Amino acid sequence: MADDSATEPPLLEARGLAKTYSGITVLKGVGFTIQKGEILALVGENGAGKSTLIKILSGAIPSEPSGQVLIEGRPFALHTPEDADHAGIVTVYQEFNLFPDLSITENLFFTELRELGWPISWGALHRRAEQLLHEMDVRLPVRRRVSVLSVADRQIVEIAKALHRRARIMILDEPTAVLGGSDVDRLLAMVRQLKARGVAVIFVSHRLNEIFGLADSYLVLRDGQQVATGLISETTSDELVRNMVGRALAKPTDHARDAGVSAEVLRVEGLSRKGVLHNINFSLRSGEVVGVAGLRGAGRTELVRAIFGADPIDAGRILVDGREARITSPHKAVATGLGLVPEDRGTQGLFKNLSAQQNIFMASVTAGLIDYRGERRRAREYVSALQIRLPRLSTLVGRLSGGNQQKVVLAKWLEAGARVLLLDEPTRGVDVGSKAQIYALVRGLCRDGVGVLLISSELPEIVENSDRVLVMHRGAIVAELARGQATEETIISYAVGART
Amino acid sequence: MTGLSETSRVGDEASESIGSALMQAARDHKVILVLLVIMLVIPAIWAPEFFSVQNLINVARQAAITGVVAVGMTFVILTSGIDLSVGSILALCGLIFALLIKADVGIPIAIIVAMGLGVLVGIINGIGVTFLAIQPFIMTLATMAIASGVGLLISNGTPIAFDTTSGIVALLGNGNAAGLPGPVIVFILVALAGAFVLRYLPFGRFVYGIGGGLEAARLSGVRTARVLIMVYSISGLCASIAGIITTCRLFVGHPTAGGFIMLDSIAAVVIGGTSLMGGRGGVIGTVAGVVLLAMVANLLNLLGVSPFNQQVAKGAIIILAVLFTAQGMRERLIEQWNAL
Repeated sequence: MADDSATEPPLLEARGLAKTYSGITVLKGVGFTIQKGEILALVGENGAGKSTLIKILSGAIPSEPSGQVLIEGRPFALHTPEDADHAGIVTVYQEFNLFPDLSITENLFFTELRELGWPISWGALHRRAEQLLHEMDVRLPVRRRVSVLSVADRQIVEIAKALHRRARIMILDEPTAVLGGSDVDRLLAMVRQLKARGVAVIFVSHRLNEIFGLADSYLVLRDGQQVATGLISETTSDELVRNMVGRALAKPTDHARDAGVSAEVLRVEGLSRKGVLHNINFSLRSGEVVGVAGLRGAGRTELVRAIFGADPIDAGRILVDGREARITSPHKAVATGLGLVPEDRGTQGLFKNLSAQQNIFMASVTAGLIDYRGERRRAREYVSALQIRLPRLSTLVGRLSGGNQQKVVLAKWLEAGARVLLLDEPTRGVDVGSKAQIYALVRGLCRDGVGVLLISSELPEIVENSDRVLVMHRGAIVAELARGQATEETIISYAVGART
Repeated sequence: MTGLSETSRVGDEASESIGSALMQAARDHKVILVLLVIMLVIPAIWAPEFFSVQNLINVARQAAITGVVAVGMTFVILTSGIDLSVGSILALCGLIFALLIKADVGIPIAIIVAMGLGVLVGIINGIGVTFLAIQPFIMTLATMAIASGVGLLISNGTPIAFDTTSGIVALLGNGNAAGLPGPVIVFILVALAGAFVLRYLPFGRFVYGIGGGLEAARLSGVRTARVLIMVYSISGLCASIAGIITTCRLFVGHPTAGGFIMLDSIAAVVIGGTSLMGGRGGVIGTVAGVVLLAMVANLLNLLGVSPFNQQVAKGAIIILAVLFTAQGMRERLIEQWNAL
């Protein structure tokens, strides 16, 4: 691809990329260039538009017509994943695109297996795979199944696969988010290899120290807009953080509450689960929202699942309304007055191929005959009170948007009369409008005396909506911050283990 | 509750009256309704004797045994499971029933023990798919073999004949009451009970919930293990009832009486529009599926088609029914063609 002209056009140039979902702008006016062998750090808070931008660049969704992509100076129609493939753009997502039960070799050469001739000479192929990995200074057991590899190794295989497919631009979506120390170093070394081979890398990370040690340039997104871009060498981490968070730092909304005097609805004492949760203690009062912050893998989801009886615990006790509740199953949790809005809405919170009405009443029917007339009436009340948009009550909820689906899940717990709600990433995959409605609903529930445990990876949401914030790090609660103390900076410093 | 007093507005539902409920039921089962109508038109032209009372009662009688099994199968399939053991349970329970009558323990005890045995096998199936986490297909395949083997052991592989003057046995087998054959009455009662349980009991809702998502159901507080064990018990119970009827018809307990009942009952459920993925469908569709299959068999008999060709026709109908029930067929055809 060598181009001899004096002013070599950038490998990829994006102009005015934008995306609007049903009237809501999630990305607007994003433009940048990237050269061969350049590492561009893409930073921004959750919901800033990073994933949307990645999706556009990988051809998963089209940009609005205003946007334009140029490859080596020539306009390029990037509408489908195949287009991206032709352009040499490969995205390595957090979820892997590998076949877990095939060997590393088979994964690396999967697309060309049928061109290899018959019979396949496996010995030669394994050697080719070893050779390919060796060129990138990695050594992996190429005959083994991918599912036995560590997360870091799987990412390395994925990158190697992309490289083998002549990727010219590689998008790495938070590759280090779930990795520990030495694995991170191995992965970053791999990225430097890519750079040395002239591959342009768009690198998404929340960890600023990584970015400063690795990237050449940066692009900051905030609220769907490009707020800053430039060379890493000309910026500081303070400046980056300022750009990410913006001037309008999230601050607690002032809904007057006197949670201090209300009764405790949930108390957790010495809760432990081997290797996952360590001696968790906290309490939740009626009408209170307690936020649970922490990095991925800090044990937040595991905590609510343990409280809800979805996972067994090794030690500790749980008190609901001051009485010890022996919650050994979700059924007991529901009977005790707990409700869980799980992280994975699609498979755990929702019955996608059942109707909205069936969903709403799934947690509350306990005895007697079902009164369909009454249920329909109540379901309609929820639909209007929660502003759920659905064509009819018999509509399968799998066809609804993320926000409406989540409202259906919430309606289920309202109907069940839950007094303690455990919300695990309640706004994930939910549009901005529905987010606001969901939090308004949560505040309304608190006025009615419900206690809410709120997990969110979006710190502004935690800061804005919590009365208190618990910060988790490696399975333990490392800080309990009162409303005034709980700023994004403080929370992050505890969550990453910088402060204890 | 927050602000639930606001006036509500949702798109549909005038559906409070019985008429509109029927309309909804018709919409849900339109494919099978069309097929049933076709099955009424063809004989009207080529085999008018189809409509004689005697023949229609024959159709119902043929449908009854498969129908009873299919009602239980509907529960299992709604949870996205499958029960391959129904044929073996039918044979085993029919045998035990025959043995008990021969031993002169009294008809009620024979019935109760035979039904209890069906439930027992169902419980074993349920424990297998819950506690042991064995795939329903594999678990019930195993109990199919075991129950069948036990039946052969008990009977030494030979039919067990018995003699009785019991009115109950006569009624369940070949007798009539209120102008209807006994097996048909049992089928109607079982179907009504099944439809009622699925629609009006919380248990029925949980069955749909498990089919809609096992983990989501568990996290909604549904005691999924309990529900699943009950579901397989219901299937076993229905198979045992069918076994009792079969034995009463023949006055013989036969170790291989199960025959094609497992395939036929699954076919009826699927033709009736219940999704093998679980969560969608119900007993009404299954009853229609059973009746359709029985009508086809009867009509082909009347038209003089050989039993071998009837098997071919049955297979074709299964494919057609499922094809027309599937949504987005055009898109799928294109998609699959491109993936060929």
